[in-house]
Amino acid sequence: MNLGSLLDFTYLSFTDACKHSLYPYLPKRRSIQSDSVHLEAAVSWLMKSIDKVDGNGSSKAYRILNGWMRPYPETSGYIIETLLNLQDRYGDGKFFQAASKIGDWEISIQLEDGGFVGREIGVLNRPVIFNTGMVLLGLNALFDRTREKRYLDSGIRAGQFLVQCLDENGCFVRNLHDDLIHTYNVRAAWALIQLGLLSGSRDFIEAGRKNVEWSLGQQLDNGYFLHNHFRKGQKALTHSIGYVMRGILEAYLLLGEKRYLDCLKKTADKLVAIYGIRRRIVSELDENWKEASSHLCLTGYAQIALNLLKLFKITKEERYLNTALHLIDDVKLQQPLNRRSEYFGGIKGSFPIYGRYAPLQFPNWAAKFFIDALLLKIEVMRDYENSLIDKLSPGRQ
Amino acid sequence: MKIALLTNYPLADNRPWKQELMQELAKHHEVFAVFGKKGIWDHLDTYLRRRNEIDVHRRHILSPLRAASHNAHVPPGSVNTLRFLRRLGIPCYAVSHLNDAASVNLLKRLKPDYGIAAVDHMLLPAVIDCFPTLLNAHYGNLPHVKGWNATEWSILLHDHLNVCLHEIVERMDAGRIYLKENIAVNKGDDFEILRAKCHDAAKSLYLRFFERPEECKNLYESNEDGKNYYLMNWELKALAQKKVERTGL
Repeated sequence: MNLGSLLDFTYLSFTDACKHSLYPYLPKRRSIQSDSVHLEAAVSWLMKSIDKVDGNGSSKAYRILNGWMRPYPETSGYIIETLLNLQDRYGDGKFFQAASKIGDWEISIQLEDGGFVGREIGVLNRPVIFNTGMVLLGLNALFDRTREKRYLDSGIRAGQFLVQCLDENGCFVRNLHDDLIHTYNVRAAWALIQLGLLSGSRDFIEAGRKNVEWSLGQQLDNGYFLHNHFRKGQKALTHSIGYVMRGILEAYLLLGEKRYLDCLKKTADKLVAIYGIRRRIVSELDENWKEASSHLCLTGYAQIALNLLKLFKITKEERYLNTALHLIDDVKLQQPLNRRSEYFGGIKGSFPIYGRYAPLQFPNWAAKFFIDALLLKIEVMRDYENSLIDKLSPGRQ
Repeated sequence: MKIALLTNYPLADNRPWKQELMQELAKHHEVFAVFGKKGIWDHLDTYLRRRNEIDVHRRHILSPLRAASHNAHVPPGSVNTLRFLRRLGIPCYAVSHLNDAASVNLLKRLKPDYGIAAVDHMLLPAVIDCFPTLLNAHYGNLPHVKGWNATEWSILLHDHLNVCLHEIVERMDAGRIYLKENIAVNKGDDFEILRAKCHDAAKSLYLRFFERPEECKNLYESNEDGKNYYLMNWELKALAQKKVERTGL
């Protein structure tokens, strides 16, 4: 800890405390920039998080007072897909190089049983389902892009590890995080289905499908998912809600089961209404969607925005697009754009920064999901504007 | 008939359409007005919350040609509605909030036959129950577009814009539709101009309704379908504006 970080801590905590209490009155539009400005800032932060650990993964987070943390296999795994998307957008080879280096690093730290450790490197030495599933997503993305066998081989080992964690009902019950079953593990099911399609193995697809079915069974009539918290006594977080939505959405896109989409729309409609009425979605929500915290989880905002944008692409329901745009604006509002600061372009875990979710941190997955959301928003808005123009008949112009 | 106007912000409201409507209605009916959100803090709170919308509108959506005529719906020298109504001898009451018990008690005591709600919030069932029929002019296409920014949503989603006179029920914008008027959306119009047109249409719909209320009530249109829409993001508003600027509807 040095004087600079202490000043950062004081400054960020104080300004966030003020902003949080005046949140409904903050002049939004004046404080946010174009998508490309925010995107480039977030990309620069993400690349820094990779450079800080010499390309062997991505630093878990920048912590106020403590600086850059050790690499985090789980989130580094799903950051691979983001890097490949950035490669497509900017055509800059550095993104692909970073992605493949992270992929190779992941392979090098894979455990005997095919799993990947929970938490950041050096903290927990046993494998965890979710973390393994997230690395598998990265390996799948790299194999899909390069067709290099080492990614598939490592992926198959991870897939076999995941399959043996399932019980006969399709619930992941072994190698759990915090000894709790988690609905958000459905993201690992997405990874399994993807692996099954890439490798041509029906077993992986069926295992993934079973878990998706189990996850659908956790949904209440009001769209809320049970067993969707990280720790005992917690409520579901927007972060974990975003995870479940994405897992089911991708399963729908891969398998085409309309039931998956219907179930997802139920949750999405609820979130649209909550944001529409309250103009915010707090980090923790109980099973009646009542607010169980006052801070916002910015990662959850970016994830939900991303899911809503994907849903809009499928359903053409403008209310999803509208809420996604609001959520992205809200995250933009919190992104530091002062180039001289160490956390330039990063996304806070919580707003205010001392909120319960990843307090005093700029986690790498927050920047990742924000980048994903912005990339998709740029594409969706371009297409939507073009479709509106197309609808206007030439004779009327 | 005894008709009540429910509205807000007695210190700031200066909408000519409300004044003209009440002036007309007072010629044939017994009328009174109840103003909610009378406190300074209510005015400030609403202004600060809406500042973003106003700012976005002025900076990004209002077409440059129309910037000069901004606030076209409130002509220069406009007068405060409360003062205007009092000058006409129309009884006016002010309460902290229209959903308060004080407001309900007042309405129960005054026993209106009809109500006109021109408010920016939902009314509680206790308030709605004080009226045999409580009306609202919705500036959007019912039954499809319910909720906030209905004009903007109607423009974005459809190729026409209606003002709909409907009955207020507990669910948002879901009561029977009694009358509709199509709004001409011309190439180059902006949302300020459209709002002014909607105000005029609202006034004429209310006057038409009160000429033959029973007949209008019998010829209602169902309002069951449709979805609730919420505050429209500035980027979608800009697209809706672009749609109007290019073609009109």
